[in-house]
Amino acid sequence: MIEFRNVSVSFGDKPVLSDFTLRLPEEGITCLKGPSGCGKTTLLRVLVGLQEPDAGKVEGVAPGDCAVVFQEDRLLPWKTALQNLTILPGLEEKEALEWLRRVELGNEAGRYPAELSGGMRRRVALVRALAYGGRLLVLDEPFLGMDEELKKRLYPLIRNAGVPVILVTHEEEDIRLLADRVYHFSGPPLKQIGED
Amino acid sequence: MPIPPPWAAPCLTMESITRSKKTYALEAVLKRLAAAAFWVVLWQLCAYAVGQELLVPTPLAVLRTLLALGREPAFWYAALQSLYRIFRGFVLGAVLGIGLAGLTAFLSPADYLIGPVIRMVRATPVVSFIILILLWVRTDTVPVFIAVLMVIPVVWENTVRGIRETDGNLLEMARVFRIGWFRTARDVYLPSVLPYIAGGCINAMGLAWKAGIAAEVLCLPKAAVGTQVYYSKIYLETPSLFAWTIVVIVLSLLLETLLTRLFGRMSRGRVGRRRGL
Repeated sequence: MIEFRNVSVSFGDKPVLSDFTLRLPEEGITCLKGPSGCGKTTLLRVLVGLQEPDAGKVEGVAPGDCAVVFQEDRLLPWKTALQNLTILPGLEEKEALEWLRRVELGNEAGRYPAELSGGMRRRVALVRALAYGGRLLVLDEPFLGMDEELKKRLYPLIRNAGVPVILVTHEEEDIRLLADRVYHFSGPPLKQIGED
Repeated sequence: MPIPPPWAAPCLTMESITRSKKTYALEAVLKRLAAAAFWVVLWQLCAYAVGQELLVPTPLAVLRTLLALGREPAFWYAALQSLYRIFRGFVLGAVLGIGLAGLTAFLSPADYLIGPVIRMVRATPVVSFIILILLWVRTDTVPVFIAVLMVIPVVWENTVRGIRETDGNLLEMARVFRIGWFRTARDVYLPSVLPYIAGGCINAMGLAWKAGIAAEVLCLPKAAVGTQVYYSKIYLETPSLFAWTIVVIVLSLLLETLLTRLFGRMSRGRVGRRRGL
């Protein structure tokens, strides 16, 4: 179980997380749903260790445990799609190419991010997280710029990731087809208002 | 080479791209030659108007002096010695500038310690340094020190800016995926900082030359362009003064071009492939 205990984070005088407590089960796909700007991304940043809370702590997750698909692609613009995967420690080129093939990008391995469409870049970011492994997969809007058919072909990859998944998305279809449970939030400051 | 869109294919073939590039390059060369010819003609007119070679020698007189100098081994020895001295100072200054920038960017106390000193060096008149260093070291070493002092602040400032402007999102990505400090330095920082280092080095090279030659004029090392410039002044050999100045300009441009090409090549291997960015 991953637990946020009385976590507070403020930016200037604006509290984004205020004495926030939440338990996330370490199994299946948990979807976090809430309006834009309510604090979900800050919650994920605290979870993966990129944001130090002003108060409180997160238990059940250690640095390096999380594989992340960020809200932005965060690909190195001077590296090809393949090289953006092989920067991961221990990932061989052959294996990286296999990952790209799984998201239908085998033929784009030698292309630079600027030469890929938004949806293609998103897929590279997604396989980078999947190839990394880790104990927890954190996905912040992973399907941006992808059409419904493509998304449906990618769902099994996430479903079969073999690790618990925390998914942030606004798409009802993603939630319906992927989520094992949904936590609803409002904010800021972030507040859990329901669970399905 | 990006693939042309289908609608452009009939009018923009690879052949036409190559041809237009060649035409463009030829045009640029012709424009430069025309500009150079304009200034030479203006110079000739000035020399003609003044009418005294002591004050303004004609381009032809300078060219004649330059050709005569070129036949003397001492000329080449002096030019190479100056080149060696200043280039040594430049390399040392660039290495120190980059090293100090690393410390400044990553260690907060170093920023407080190093920053003010470098700003002070930048604000100090170069002649003060030349006279001071002349008291401490051999005359032929002064231009090296001066070049170092001129290069450090420029390279330092550019490199610090480059490090600080490295995309924080990419650094977070590197942290999350635990790619390690070496790969972060090589694959994230270096491609981001390289254009800044290149800009700093190219600017600093010009400064190193100007200050290094000034140091030679004041210190008079045995074989040096600056020493020859000084003797030209003493013996009122104005064509010779112009000729040596042209040598300084040509060597400076040569080094600048070499540096630009070197960094261009390095960038193509790292950052230059950001097609479309």
